[in-house]
Order: sequence, then C-alpha cells, then structure tokens
Amino acid sequence: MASTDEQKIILVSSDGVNIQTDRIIAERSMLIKNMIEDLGTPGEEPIPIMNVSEAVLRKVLEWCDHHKKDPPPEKDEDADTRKKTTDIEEWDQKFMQVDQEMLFEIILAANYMDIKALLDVGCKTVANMIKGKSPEEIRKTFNIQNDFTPEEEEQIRRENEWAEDR
Amino acid sequence: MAQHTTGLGDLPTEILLAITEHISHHDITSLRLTCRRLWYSQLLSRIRSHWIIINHPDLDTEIHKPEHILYRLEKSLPNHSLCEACMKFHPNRTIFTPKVTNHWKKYRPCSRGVGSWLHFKNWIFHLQYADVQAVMHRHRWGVTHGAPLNSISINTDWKLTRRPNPLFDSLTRLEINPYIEENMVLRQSCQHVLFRHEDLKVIKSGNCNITHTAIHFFHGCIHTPKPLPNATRHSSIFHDRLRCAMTALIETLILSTIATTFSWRHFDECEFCTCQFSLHIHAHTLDREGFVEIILESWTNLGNCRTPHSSGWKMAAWHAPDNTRMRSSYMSAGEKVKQNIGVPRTGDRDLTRGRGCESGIGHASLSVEVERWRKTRAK
Repeated sequence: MASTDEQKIILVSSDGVNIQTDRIIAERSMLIKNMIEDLGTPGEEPIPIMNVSEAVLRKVLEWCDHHKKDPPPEKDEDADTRKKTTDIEEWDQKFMQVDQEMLFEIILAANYMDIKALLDVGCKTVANMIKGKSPEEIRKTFNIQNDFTPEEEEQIRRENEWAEDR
Repeated sequence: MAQHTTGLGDLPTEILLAITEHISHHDITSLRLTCRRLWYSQLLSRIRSHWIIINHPDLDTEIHKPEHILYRLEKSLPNHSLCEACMKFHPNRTIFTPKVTNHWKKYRPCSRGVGSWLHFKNWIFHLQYADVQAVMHRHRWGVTHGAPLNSISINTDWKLTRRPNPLFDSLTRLEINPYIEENMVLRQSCQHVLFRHEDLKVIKSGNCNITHTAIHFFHGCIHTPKPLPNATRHSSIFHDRLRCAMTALIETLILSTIATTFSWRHFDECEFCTCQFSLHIHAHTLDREGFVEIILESWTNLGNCRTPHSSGWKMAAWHAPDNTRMRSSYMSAGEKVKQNIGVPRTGDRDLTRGRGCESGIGHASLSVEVERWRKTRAK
C-alpha cells in the first residue's frame, strides 16, 4: 500500500466535478481529514464537498498545495499577537488577488472545509480592505446597499448624541 | 435571471467576527454603519475592548461608543471638523465670525478654540489654530478636506525697518515653513535681519547696539517674550544666552576683515518647551559694501492639532500669561514630564536635513530694497 504522502484521493465539487489530489494536500482541510479517518478507505470512494464549486475548490487546493509542508498551528496560539497583525505573506497576497466574489467564496469554503490558516488569510485580506475607511467608502468598496431609513439614521444620531452644529 | 453574487453581506456572522479581530474599533463602527443587518447584529455590537476582556471577563460592554462613530464620520464630513474638547462637529468657518442661532443653548461654538494663535511679535504675524487644524484635516483625510500646507506658510520680501533704534536701521524678512512629520505639524521659521557691516563697529553702551536691535525682532517661543527690563525670569535666560552668542559672533566678525564667505552657527533650545533655535550669522558683500545677516531659525512642534488643548499646540501658541506660569511650573518638574506628554523633541530629528535655513541674500527683493536703503541714508 502506498504511503500516506503518495496516496491520491478524489474530491467531488458541488457541481459534480471529480478532482484528484494528493491526500497530504487535501488533509490541510480538517473536514476532509476527519472524513478520511471516518471512512477508513482512502482513495477508494470520492469525497463529496457539498458547498464548494469546482472553481473555488481548485483554488483552495492550490493554496493547500503551496502550504502542504507548513507546520501545524500551535494549539495555544497567543491571541494577543494574532489580533494585532494583518501582515500577509507575499505568496498569499498574490493568491488573494482575485475578484471580490471569489474572495468571499474562498473564505466561505475555508470556513466550511475547516482550513484555519486559509480562513485567517481571507479575513485579514478583507480586514485590510476595511481599515481606515468611512462607512460610505466601505459601502462603495463592497457594493453594499445603504438600507437605513431616514428615521433610523436620525435615531442613530440621537442615540449617539451626534451633535452637529446647525 | 440575474446571477447572485457573494458579497460581504452574505458572510455569516462568525466570519465577520473573525474579520473584526483584525481591525480597530473605529473600523468596526464604520462597518456596522454600512447597513441595517450589520448595525442590528447582536454579536457585532458586543465586541469588547481587549483590555476589558482581560480584566473583566464577565463584563458585557457595547463598542459603538459615540467617539468611535464621531471619529469615523469625520472623514465623511469635509465641511466640518471634530472638536475633541467638546466632541462635537463644528462647521469650518472663519474663526472670528460667530454664528447666530435662535437656539443659543443648543448651539455653543467651542469657544475654547477661539483666539488661540501663534503670535510673532514685531512681525505682525498670527498663525490661527483653525488654519493649522484645516491643514491637518487635509493631511488626515485627503484633498477634499481642509487647506493645503502652503496656506500657513509665509515668505516675505526684504523690508526696510527703522525700529526700534533708528541708529541701526536694517532690512528684515520673515519665513515660516511648516511641514508635517509623523502626523504632527512642525513649524520652522527663519527670521532674517540685515545690517550694514560698518554699523558693527558702533559699539554703544547698554541696549543700544546691534545685538539688542536684532533681538528686538527675534521671536522664539512663548517663553521668549520681548526683552523688556521687566521681562520674566525665563525670557531673560533665553535672551541672555542669545545675546551672549551673538555678541561673541559679532566680535569675531569685527576683528576679521570683511570676508564674503564668513558664516557662523550657534545652536540653542528653550528649557521649558520643545522649541529649538539656531542662530546663523553670515557676512556678505554687495557692490563693495559689507552686510551682516543675522538669522534666527527656530523649530517648534505644534503637535497633532486635533484640539487647541493638545499639549504641542498649547505650549507653542498659548498666549495668556497665566498659562505661561502654570506651564513653566509643571515643565520645571524635569525632562521626564516632557517625555510623558508625548511630544517628541524636534531635536530628535536631523536638523540639517530637509529644509535648511538659507541666507536671504539671493532673494529677488534685496537689491531693490538695498537701493532704497541707500537713498534714505543719503538724505
């Protein structure tokens, strides 16, 4: 039997496309790792990834391939230092240079497939897009509809004692 | 049918929470103010300050504190400025035109900012707080806000002045070159006074000499008021030091024959505030006539100018004598106080870098003014 490193497994995307990949790459995803352990027959049965389309799955696997040799994250990671930093390593920055829809799809996929490091990179990318912007600028960046009614805006002002000279 | 695209609003709240871990509370407030879903999200409204989590894990505090919203809205309101003293937005307006409203109780302009200026005695020049604040607004929020940096700079022509002593008439010129470094306004000024070389030899007793005449023009900082006999202890320390330096330099100059390349520099600083000085003396020859140019270059850190009460501005520009006394008493508590109030000394930077103090001898207005000067003397 082939060693774990060389084993191939087949993933099935939500739109029904089979994608063959190395087990070591796919196991960056805790979802797949747990599934393989549960099924006990790696490589024989295709693994369905229900919520992720082919394009996004290929992109996620590309990230996993590049990071397959990364050391596993330490359990008791210092929350303080993690919170402060929004530095993203260069390869990941280039990897995240995709349109916004793909970016959010990757984040959703990373969340679903339980890939903590990828989710972190995605969140940091979005955080960098938000930093220092006014509400109106964030709306423009992410194409968000301002759905506050005039009454609500007035109430927010009042609640917050937003005192503008008249 | 239009295809649905995934946007920020489609992300589940737990992912939004993960994103908020990487941004400041100001940014979170901005994000929440974009749409109803995020504003009314219970989870987002209950993110706590990190230090509160550490110290009071059981405490449940909301983050959309007024100040977060106010700071972030500042960027959206280019025609207003947020006053940190009263936490209200004031419309940008000329500071001496108070606005009349029917609701005098409702609207109270932050009067504490009114009349706060940096005053250059004898040069008839005021730098208003509101003008410096406008410059900082543009620096913070971009070109739609405030005013450009050169709106508070000044570069006058040479001018014939016969004050305070008609024996030593002189040409004078003022340059103010503010610049912004690390979100703080640094004001560099050069005060030029040009004398005839022959006047150097007229050594009069007491206050009647070139040194005194030059010092009359020089404005250093709030701690260096006009050198009068009844001047405060602090002012005379500075002026004594300046006078000593200048006298020594001028004596050297008198002993030497007229040399066109003569140039001397003396460095000093105020012992009470962040102001630093550099005294330059240059000797020039124009049409076989010798001139001596004395320049007082000074640097003052005006702080971030978010409020007229910020330590940098207040120290540099406050003009009330009461404040001067109060300040000098706490400043004399030592260097440590200066470190703690967060205003870096301008001396930390390399003073020879960037804008240097150049002699005004090359200024276009000089030849015209020297000609006028000669005619006046001929009469």
